[in-house]
Order: sequence, then C-alpha cells, then structure tokens
Amino acid sequence: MNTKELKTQRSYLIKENTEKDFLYFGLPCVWDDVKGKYLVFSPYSLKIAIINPESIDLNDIRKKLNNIGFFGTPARPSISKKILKMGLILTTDCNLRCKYCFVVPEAKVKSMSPEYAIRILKEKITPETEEIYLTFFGGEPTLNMDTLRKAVKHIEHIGIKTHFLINTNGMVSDYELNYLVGKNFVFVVSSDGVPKINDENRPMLKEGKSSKEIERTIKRLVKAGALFKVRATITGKSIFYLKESIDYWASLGVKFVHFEPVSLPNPKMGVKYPVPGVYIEQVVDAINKAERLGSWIISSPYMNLLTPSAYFCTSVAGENELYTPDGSISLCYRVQEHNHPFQEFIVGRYNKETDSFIRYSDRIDFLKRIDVSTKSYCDNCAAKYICGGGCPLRNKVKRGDHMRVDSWMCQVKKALVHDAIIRIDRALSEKRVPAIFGESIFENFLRSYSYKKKEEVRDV
Amino acid sequence: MFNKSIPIQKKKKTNGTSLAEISKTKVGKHSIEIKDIEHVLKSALPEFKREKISRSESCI
Repeated sequence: MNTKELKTQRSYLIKENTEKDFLYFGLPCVWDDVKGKYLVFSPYSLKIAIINPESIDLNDIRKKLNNIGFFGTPARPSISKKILKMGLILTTDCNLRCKYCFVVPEAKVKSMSPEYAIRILKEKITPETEEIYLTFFGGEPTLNMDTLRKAVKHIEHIGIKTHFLINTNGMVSDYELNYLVGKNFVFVVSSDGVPKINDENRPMLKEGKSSKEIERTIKRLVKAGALFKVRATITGKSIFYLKESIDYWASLGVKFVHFEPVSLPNPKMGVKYPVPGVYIEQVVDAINKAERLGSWIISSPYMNLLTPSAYFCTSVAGENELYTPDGSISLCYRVQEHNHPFQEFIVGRYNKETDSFIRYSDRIDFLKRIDVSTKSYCDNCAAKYICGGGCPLRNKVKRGDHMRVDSWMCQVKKALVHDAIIRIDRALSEKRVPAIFGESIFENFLRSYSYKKKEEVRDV
Repeated sequence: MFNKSIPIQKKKKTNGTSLAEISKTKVGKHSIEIKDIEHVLKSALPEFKREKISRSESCI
C-alpha cells in the first residue's frame, strides 16, 4: 500500500469511528462498535451510561439520567477576586534553540526587572485575594532568578497561600533547583522524549545535546519528591517516537506526561505537522503503553474531560493575565510583545509615566466572546465542551479566523475523544482510573503544593 | 492535605463482591447500565475533587 492509499484508509477509519458520535444534551455520546451500544459520559455526575441504540432517543431515559444529576452547565469565563491566576514572563532569553520555538531568538533579549515584577504583584494582589496561582515563564525563566526570588520573597512577606509554577527547559543548576524545590514549586519540564528526538528538536544555543541535562533535572525532581510533569511538543517526525518516549520517561521516574502537537511549525527548520491519521494511531498506541506503565497522560483532547468548558484556554478567556518584560499584558503565552503580529492578544500595558496599568477593553471583550457557542458547526459534536472550539491563536494561524476551528485539530480531537470515552468505560470495568484523567489528577496534587513560610531548603 | 505520594494507576484487586459501582436501571421496557467513576477515583485517590474549571492551557 502506498502512502496516499494509507492516508485514505486512515481517514476513512477515523470517519467511520466517529460518524455515529453526537452531543447528547451537552455530553459526549459515542458509538461503541464492540458493544453495539452508545456510551454517554457525564463529568458532572462522574458516571457513564451504556444505552441501547433503540433507547437513546427516549425522553424517559433522559429524565432518568437527569434525576441522577447527569447533566450540567459547561464553565464560562469567570474572574475570581479571591483566587488570582497570573503569569510573569521573566525573560525572552534562552539557552536552547528549539526548532519550533515561538519566541523569536534573533530579537533582542528582554528581561523583567525585580522592581517591575513587584509592582505587578502589588497591583494584582488585593485585600480580597485569598489564594494565588503564579506561573513563571520565559524564554527560560531560570535565567532571571534575581527577579523570581524577589517576587517569591514579596509574596512570602504578604503571606498569602500561593502555588508557584515554573515552565523550564531543564537547564537548571543544582543551586537554583534546590531553591525552587524548597519553595514547593510545581515544575513543567520541557522534554521531547528519547534523546535522539529531544536533541534534534531542542539543541543547545552553543552546540551540544540538552537531553543529558534534562535527564539530570528530572532525576533530581524525582528524588526530591517534587510535583512535575514533562511537556513534549510533537512533530511530524517525533510522533513515531511517542510510544518509545513514554517508556523512556517512565524509566526516569516521570509520572505525568503532557504532549501536544506543534502549533506553529517552521518548515525552514524541518518541522512539520504530523499527519492526522498517523497522529491518532500513534497517540492511541502511546496511551496503551502509558496505561501499562502507570503513567498519567495530559493532552488537550483529554484536558477538559472532567471539566467541560465553553472555551478552550483559561488565559484567552481572561482568567490568567500574563505580564511580559516589555510592559505588555497578554492573554496568550505565545504573544509576548506589544507589536506582535497577533497583537489582539495584548490586552493592556504598563504606563511608566503615570505608574498605572492601562487595559484595552475592546480586545478583552473580543477574546471573551470566542467560545464554542459561537461556532454553529460544533453544535452536534460529541467533543464540543471538551474541545471548547480549539486554540484561538492556532485557529487564526491555520484558518485566518480565531473562531474557525482548525480542521487538523478538529479531526484529531473527534477521534481521540471517541477513543477516550471507550477507554474510560474499559478502565472502569477493570476498576482503575483512566490514564487520560492526568490533567485533573495533576490539578488535584497542585492544590496541595503551596509555598512554605520557613526558609527551608531541601537537598535534591 | 492531599497525600503527596503520587499513585501510579494500578489495576485494583477485586474480591468478586464489590460491583456496587455498576448498576442496571429499567426504564419501562428499556434498560440502561450506569457505571460510577467516582467510586473508582475515590478508592485510588481518596481526596480527589472534581474542579469546575481546569487551567486548560495546552501550550504550557
């Protein structure tokens, strides 16, 4: 069979798998070909109903399910005054040159000063704030530890319960890692999997392979009992190594694996999108592997399985403001400059002269309106409130419109949500928690990780 | 406080009696089967709480 025939066969299989699936009063309803029945999954009641095809349209069935709390309302953007979620982009500097990076490496490095970070925190933290989720991001945020340490110290001084998160490429010294672990940081460590693939996609700035250093960081985090996940970007090539990489991460002691397809591939750097059918097949195989090894899986098709949502991203919905080194306020981690080509995600800026923050309410309102209810072609989709209409930036890049769902992601999510519901049913029969609940499990652990007041530093 | 020893998802040993999480319900002539996920979640992670919203940011 040639490549073209293989692709045709795969797309046929995907269509056949999902064409009977539909949205059952807001819930994913998928056809299980083996059972010859429909499976309806309710995250609200944490139940799954198995229904014969001749009964699925009956009103009495729906009433019965309603009586046991089966139905609910997907989350919509809401900004809590008590729980503050925010991010500080500490620097655009990085010691790696990943082939698909969205931070332009040629641009002049910009870093956030400690004074500005503290000014932001003073603005955001109000007497009503009871809890903070603070993400440090970059570039590589550990290249600006001075600002990070001073921001942490400021919060410790105020004494509000804070969950510190950091996205790092794993190039962290023992000294800095000891400090972060001691402060109960939760880590997202970028790793693209087996060394062969990681080193190809994530080369060092000044020649050399990053995988050894990443491995070392992961092992130190495991030894210290820190909460962390690895985050992999999947390309047209690396998808074929995902299963092997699940094995590799497990051998290092990794419990949580988060992978996503590359968002903005750069053909000049040899980075391509995976073919949808290939992606689906390889992900299904990789999850089978993860289930056998006991690893938890996090990936966007599964992220909202237990938290149905009318929108895709907490940040774009306005719940998580990101402060950039150039004084901008962004609602997308990928848009870090005031004059970025997708500047509609920049929703404000700091005015040094007046020492005040200005917000662009028209852009905030525009981004808030991007929810799945605006997309009529999602109306009957089983994955509607798990997908939330997809990443608005990706939609804009791929379709030229924030609200038009990227067809690659649409196809992939339909197939993987179909597989997910069948997988949940199978896991329950075997009395185990499905591996694809990784996001909710991780969030549950995250809640218990907050800073310690004492200057207690654990050895790693 | 949530128990910080992160569990791996193991297949639970069944004693052949605890099937309370699966129920069959009759609705007129029709029957549906309902499986309870909470039961399995709570036995693996006793303090598990379903959040209404996740920090669903796929890029980080």
